[in-house]
Amino acid sequence: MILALETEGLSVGHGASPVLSGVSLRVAPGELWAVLGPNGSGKSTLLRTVLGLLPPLAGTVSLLGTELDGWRRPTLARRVAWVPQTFDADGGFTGLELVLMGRTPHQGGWGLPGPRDLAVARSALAELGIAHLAARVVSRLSGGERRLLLVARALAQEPELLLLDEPTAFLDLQHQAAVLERMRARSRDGLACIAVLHDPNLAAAFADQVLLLRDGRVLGQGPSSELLDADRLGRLYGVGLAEARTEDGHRLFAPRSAR
Amino acid sequence: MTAVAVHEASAGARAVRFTPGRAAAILGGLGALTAGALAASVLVGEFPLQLSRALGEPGSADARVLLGLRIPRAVLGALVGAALAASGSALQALLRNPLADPYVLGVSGGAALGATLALALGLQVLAGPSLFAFLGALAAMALVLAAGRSRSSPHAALLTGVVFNAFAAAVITCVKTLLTPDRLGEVLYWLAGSVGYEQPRTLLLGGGLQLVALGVLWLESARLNLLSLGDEEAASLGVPVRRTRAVVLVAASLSVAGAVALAGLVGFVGLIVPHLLRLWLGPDQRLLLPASALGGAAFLVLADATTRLLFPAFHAEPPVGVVTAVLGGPLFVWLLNRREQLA
Repeated sequence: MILALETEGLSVGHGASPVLSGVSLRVAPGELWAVLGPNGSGKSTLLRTVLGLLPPLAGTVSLLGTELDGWRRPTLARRVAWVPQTFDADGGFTGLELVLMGRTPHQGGWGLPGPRDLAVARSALAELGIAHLAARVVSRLSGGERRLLLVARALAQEPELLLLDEPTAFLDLQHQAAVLERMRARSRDGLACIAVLHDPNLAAAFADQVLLLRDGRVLGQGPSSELLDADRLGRLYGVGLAEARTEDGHRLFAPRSAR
Repeated sequence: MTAVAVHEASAGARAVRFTPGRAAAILGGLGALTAGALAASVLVGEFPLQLSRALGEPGSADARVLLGLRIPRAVLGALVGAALAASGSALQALLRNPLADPYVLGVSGGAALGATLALALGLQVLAGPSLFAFLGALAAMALVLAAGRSRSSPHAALLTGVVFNAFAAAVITCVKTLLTPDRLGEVLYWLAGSVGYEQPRTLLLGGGLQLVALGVLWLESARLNLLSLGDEEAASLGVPVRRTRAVVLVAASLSVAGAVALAGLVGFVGLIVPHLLRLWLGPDQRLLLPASALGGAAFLVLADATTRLLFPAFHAEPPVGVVTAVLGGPLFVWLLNRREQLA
């Protein structure tokens, strides 16, 4: 089986000194990974390096069986998609126009959408429950609605590997669950998915595998059912955590009150 | 059809604003507007032109004024207006700065410096200040792009351009103090931007340059849309960022340098026309860029006709740059206010 992503001894960072090193990761098709760690632990930098937006400082990255250097941008964009952490563009485009941009790698140079492009874009909107945003101008939407549009755009790219940088930021509880539910369903169909998350409860509920980052190195990686416990998460975030279980066996984590 | 269905159908129609049919209709309309502006402007001027005589009697004064002066001047205005507005639109998207005008990359400073030196030193051989303005613009552009390239920030080129323009302004002021009043007048008039007489050969050359430069920008317009979201997002969507950025910068700079060489520094066209059209058409460069070219052509041709209408009042033609600034300044402030109210 060809791995969606394989890194070996990867070091990432801006400039000369790495913010994170020694990442050796094997992500198979159909797996949903959550990347957890405190602010500044290199989660976003890792995703951007994997996508080739930043040069690796050491080690290797291979996407879908081909080394990063061997990819051309247009070809890579047909198979790997990215949901960036921020959206700070002028935003005069409509929701559907923004989502259709996810189709450009599959189109000719001028990006005229065909019937299939329109159908894929509209179904991505519908899948996330935001079909009503199609004709709305992005600059007048809330942060959460923009987030959902970026996820829809990534889905419209029809990728085999999807990198999500805090896809649940700015989202209400219902949409946080809905987005991750969709990611899990997509991963059951073979999509490899790596999501940076800030909520260990969401990771415990949805992710198959977790990658825990702290102090510039990997604190642990493996099945979320084995790795996520109050003790390890407490060490990850440097805060005392309490753990509970729901009636149907889901784990819940909350900071211990200092009172 | 129920009310809801009608509402959704109309919403669906607006969700994607760039379709070949709609683009053709809008560009056709703007093309007709430009043609109308050209036709109106050749009839306006100090000499009372009779169209029937101009077309009927080839040797008449009317015919000589129409073919030898009015039409070349209108074509020149259209070329310059199209170049400034279309490159303004492209640069605003590329630099992700709504206030970027076509002169941000140091082109204006370089051109002004070249022309000022040519006028000051009396280098009237060849094409007079035009050639030196073009060379100055190209040199400035090369300098700014080279300086901006060493940094990864998209704003590096913009900042370098602004600094270079300020530097050039200082040198020009220094040169001006050394000039005789005659020469100073020439320099000031040139710097204000004016559409005058150019030989057909020069127009042809300028037209060819604009056709290529604006054609390249239009070809890149879909990638330009993605670049307006940011370099990294564009890259993740398959845009070869460095190549596209370089192609757009060079094409826009060539276009602006060509315009500056023909007409001096005509302000505001590259800022107002794309902004006005963006309010109507949205930010999609595939439509906005050619629409700006046509709108800019119409705007500058009409502004130039206005300078000729003002002749009786001033006993001279004010430079067209003055008219675009006087019209453009208030219009721009009004636009900005409107935008804030909408947002």
